[in-house]
Amino acid sequence: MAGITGRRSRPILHLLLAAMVLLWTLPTLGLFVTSFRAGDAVRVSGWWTALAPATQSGMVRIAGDDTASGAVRSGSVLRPDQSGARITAFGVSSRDPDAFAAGQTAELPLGGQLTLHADGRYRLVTPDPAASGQRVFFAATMPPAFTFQNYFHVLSSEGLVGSLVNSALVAVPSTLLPLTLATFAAYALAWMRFPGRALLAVATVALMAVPLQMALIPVLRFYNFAGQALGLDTKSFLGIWLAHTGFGLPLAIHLLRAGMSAVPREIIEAARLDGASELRILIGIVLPLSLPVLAAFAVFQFLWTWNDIMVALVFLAPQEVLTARLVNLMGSRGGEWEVLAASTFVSLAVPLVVFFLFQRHVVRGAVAGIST
Amino acid sequence: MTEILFHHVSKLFGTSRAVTDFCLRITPGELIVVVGPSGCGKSTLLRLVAGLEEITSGTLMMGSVRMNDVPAAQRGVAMVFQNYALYPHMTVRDNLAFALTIARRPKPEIRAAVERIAQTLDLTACLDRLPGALSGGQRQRVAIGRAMLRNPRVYLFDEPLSNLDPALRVTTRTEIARLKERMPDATMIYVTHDQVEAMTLADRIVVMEQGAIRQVGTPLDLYARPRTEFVARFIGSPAMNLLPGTVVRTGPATTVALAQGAGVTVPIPTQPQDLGRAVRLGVRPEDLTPAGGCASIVSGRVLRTEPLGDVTLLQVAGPEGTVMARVPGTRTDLRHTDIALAADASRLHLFQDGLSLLCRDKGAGLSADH
Ligand SMILES: Nc1ncnc2c1ncn2[C@@H]1O[C@H](COP(=O)(O)OP(=O)(O)OP(=O)(O)O)[C@@H](O)[C@H]1O
Ligand SMILES: [Mg+2]
Repeated sequence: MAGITGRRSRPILHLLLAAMVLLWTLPTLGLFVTSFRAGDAVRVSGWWTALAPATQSGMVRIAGDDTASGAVRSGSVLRPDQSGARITAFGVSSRDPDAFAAGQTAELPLGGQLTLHADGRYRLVTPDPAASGQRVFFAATMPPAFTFQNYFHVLSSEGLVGSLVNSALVAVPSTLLPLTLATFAAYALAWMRFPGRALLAVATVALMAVPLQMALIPVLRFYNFAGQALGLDTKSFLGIWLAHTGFGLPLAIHLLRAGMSAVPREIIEAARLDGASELRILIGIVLPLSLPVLAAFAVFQFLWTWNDIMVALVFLAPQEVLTARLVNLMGSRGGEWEVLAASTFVSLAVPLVVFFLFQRHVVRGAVAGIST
Repeated sequence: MTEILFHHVSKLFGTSRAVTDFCLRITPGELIVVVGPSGCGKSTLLRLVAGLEEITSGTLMMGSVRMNDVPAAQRGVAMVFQNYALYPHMTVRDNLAFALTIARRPKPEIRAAVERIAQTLDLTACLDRLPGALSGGQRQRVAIGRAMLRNPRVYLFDEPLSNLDPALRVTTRTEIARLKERMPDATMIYVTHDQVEAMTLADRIVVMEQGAIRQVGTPLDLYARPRTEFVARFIGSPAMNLLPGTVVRTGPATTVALAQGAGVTVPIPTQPQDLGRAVRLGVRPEDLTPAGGCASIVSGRVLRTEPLGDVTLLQVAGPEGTVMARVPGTRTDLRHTDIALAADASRLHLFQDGLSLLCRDKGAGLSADH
């Protein structure tokens, strides 16, 4: 029975899943497209129009030219930066701006002819070389236009590089530190016998339930107090490393313990009989065998510390991490969507790369953590 | 050359007893096979010797040293696990070399030792492979090789062949027998479920039940003179038949009346007070032979025949219940016929309350050799 209903509901499930994925990624896609558009384009049309060719109408005046030797003038109605555009129609009076198709020849009311080609080249034959400018109206389709300009801009002038470095200085040690500590703790909880082991294991799980928002200020006050007592600079990277480590450790220990417990007991006992010390067993046997879980936690913790803003604002006031920089940009460049979008994507790029590099491990490790 | 002495060794997990009052002296170079039903404490016994579990009470000696508190790594004990327990992320070479590497032996020496063992166990071709890329038999040989490289005083085998298919089991078994011959000084404790392994490999067999020793002896001794019904049925396959009866005459030979009414005289002495007692007559299927009329022990209708090629197993429905017999040749023609089965009187066993009458009188003497 279950099998039949399961099979029937699968297409619906897939549809639902696809819809959710689409909904979830649509804003990101919009941001992505916006980050590659020119500022004035962003302000007149939505990002979804940027992907299709746009129709634009324009007018140029072919100026009288004193130096012109003959009655024939030629040139282009398009600016050099519009070179990809195609003329669809043109006209010579404002009442009928698309009277002629591209490539046709229009008879001018005051005598003479004008030919306008699809690529914008024109040829004007006029009886009076010194006559004032002849107006040409045209409609053109513009190809989608994208630019890296926004990225050059934010990377060169908005202080993003400095905050990128700050973010890395926060995230990398804040990942490695809890990973290292939790490795030892998890091994002890999984494979060493000592009184109170089960209680400690339960306590670490219980700590995972403590909300960061609640603990942050007490921790900060204690840290400031301790820092002053020891004469340390309290607004340094050390503080945020310690804070992230503390908040990350419960999950780290829990995940790693689950992963390490999955190593068959006999393998560890064989190593013990072979004379390996606990440290040797940990480094030589258990760590290599629980790499997926280590990688999974490292990715989680890296993403979390990279994307964190609250702990950074509280513990790292003078230096600005990427997230804090983005918030400030929102204030100062609120209207300039293309700048914000590009900045956001700069900050997104690192986690994306990390995630895709370790994606396989993340899924496997997370499943191991849940199932145990 | 290490003697192992268990002196009233017990192991409790919480309140449940896994090993109870275990007393045994294993002489140097002996191969002891431990058999018993699942959960009787065989693995726990090995783990106590290896130092992987703490002994709750009693003393374990190796040579003249008390081992109770010696860490596992310093006992000079190597263990071959049922699931091999190879290090999956290391090549066969590194697996074999692990213990020597930890002992910081010089590289050339390790290399030479690994290659020598690999040669012995026919593993040279797969030295640089990971365990995952080996067959079951090869993994088993790596596990044994890993144990051998440490040159331990005591080898422990926990059902080392149980994950192999029957054909491979036979070859690996003979390989282990050969290894043992080559290392006459190594003391070995070998746990198995397999009758044939126990009978062919063992110098002595220990039969365990519920954490305690039921009987210790050479394979043929256990086969010929089981002390209890449990041992009698555990050693030998198919298991011994037990036929209920009553003692009708005592003396140097005992006569037992079976349910059928037939009297069977067994050359086992009994006391006058045994007269009229309920006993069980034990007869192994392979000792039963088709016979004519009067001399028969069991008669009945053949329910099933199971031809095995060289012999045929007969399931006979007699008045005492179903009896298994093992007759030579292919005898499917006996199916659904009436048959009478007889046995040599000297190969019969008598049990009273589960205990062999033969051993009852010298029961104390048998347990003294522990
Ligand atoms: N770590 C443990 N904690 C609690 N009880 C245990 C533990 N290890 C074993 N036992 C119990 O001790 C008894 C003996 O177990 P053991 O593994 O020695 O049996 P075994 O004879 O090896 O069985 P098998 O033939 O199935 O391998 C069992 O009842 C088992 O449940
Ligand atoms: Mg076992």
